Amino acid sequence: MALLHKLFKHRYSIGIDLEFVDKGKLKATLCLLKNVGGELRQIDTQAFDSYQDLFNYLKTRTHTPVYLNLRGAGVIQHCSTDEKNPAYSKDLLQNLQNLEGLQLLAFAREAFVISVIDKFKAEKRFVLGVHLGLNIAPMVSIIKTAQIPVGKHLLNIGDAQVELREISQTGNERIKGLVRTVDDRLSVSEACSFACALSSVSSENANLRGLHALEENSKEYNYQHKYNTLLKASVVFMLTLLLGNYLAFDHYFSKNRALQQKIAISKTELAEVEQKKAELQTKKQFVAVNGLGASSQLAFYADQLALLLPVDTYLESLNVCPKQKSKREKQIRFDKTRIHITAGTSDTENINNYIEQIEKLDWVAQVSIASITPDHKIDQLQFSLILKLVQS
Amino acid sequence: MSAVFLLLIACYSFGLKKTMAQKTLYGKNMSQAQMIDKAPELLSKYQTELQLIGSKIAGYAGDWSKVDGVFFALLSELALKHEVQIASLEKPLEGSFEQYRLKTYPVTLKAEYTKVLALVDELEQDRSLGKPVSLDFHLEKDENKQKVLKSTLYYKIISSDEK
Repeated sequence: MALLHKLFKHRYSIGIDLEFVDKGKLKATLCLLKNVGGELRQIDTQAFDSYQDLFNYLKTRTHTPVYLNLRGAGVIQHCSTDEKNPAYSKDLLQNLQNLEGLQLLAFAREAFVISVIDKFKAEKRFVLGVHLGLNIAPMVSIIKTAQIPVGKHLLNIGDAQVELREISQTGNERIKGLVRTVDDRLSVSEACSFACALSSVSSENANLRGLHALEENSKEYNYQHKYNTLLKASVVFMLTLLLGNYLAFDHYFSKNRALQQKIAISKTELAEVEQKKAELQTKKQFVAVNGLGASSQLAFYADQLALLLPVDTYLESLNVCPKQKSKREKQIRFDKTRIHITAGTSDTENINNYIEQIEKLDWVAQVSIASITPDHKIDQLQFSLILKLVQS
Repeated sequence: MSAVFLLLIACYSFGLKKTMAQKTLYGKNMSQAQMIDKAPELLSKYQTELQLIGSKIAGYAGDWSKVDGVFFALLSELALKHEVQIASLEKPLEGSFEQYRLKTYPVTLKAEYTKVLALVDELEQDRSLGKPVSLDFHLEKDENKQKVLKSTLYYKIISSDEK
């Protein structure tokens, strides 16, 4: 699971601060972050003044998740030290940030937010999170000093303290916000885009709740991300497999070529060995079929079996190595492993005794009764036995 | 995913399958190469075994056209010796196995059990001609409806020379 999690984790994230200036103008600031072994690094920062330029840049980063921060026209920003929030319509989407006891509230119409998301979707870019208004809460710990204008107020941050004061109405100069971090100086837009890009680590920062379009985007993006990762992994796996296969093929091919050369040189020698082997096999089979390996012991077997006959028992037939009935084969064959006995007796006890005696013979492997039938005319039992001989 | 599946099939068809075929061929070639290394040793071993088997076969070395007469003479001599009556002597069953020729003689004998056994035993001892391969004792009723013991003996002779 840990491996899968690592595999499907996003390595890059893009935060974009979209500030809608008056007269339909747009100021977009982009921040590209990279996650290297848990450590976040800022790879790139860019500023654009149109959607087209922004989307052109995003084409180079097709599978990187995008988090947006919306500010300016269309977004109402409210800042107060009171815990009471202003009463706005429930139709508006809202973001609330608590900054060291200071309430930062931002509102926007749902239709406005969705229109921005749709612009990105039209370019096949999935927005995974949206934040409204000033977004500096995630990086407040690294801010050394900051002066940020929020409507008619100026937000001062310094020595880990947040202060809000009114901007005097007399001055005509527009105050430019500035954020000083431990090792950098950032504009408000850059700070907001950086904080927004951090959303890939903690989605709490860009969580406009209840926005169906975001949930849909997130699902679709995750599916695509997994699919692309699996596809890449599959391609890498197959390339590795093909490389390994090529090495193995080359190894066996060269070995085979060398061996075939060796075999070609010694072909006659091999043929001679094969011929002798085949000849030996044939002769072995011939010896086995015709029982030439051992001397015939027909008389010995017949003599022994007759000697063991109990009292009141007489042989009716004895067939040592019986002829095999085979219509298919022209050649006559004998079953050298069997003896068939048919005998008559007055008592079943005699049959048992006879079998027991036969079983003691070391050249008999098995004795089985083929049949026992009563002959009522002479008040006798006729029985047939089949003996299986030990094979040497 | 179907593309990945198709790629896998292509990998198998055009790559892995051929490598596996080469591996199988390598196994065969290796066994042949080992056989080449052992060829002189194997030839010598097979030659020795063939000689041993040849001595086991040791068939009738005389004139094959006269083998019937030789067998009848031997049988008659032993039948006279052991007081066994030759009831019938059927035409031999002829056959061949590879380069060898074979004749199996069915002989019906009429005599006491022990006398037939003595005759068969002596035939078994004499390995110069052939060997008895089957012996069947059975009771048959004669013209007087008396049970008499008859025995059928099969005697096999193999030619020692090749065709």
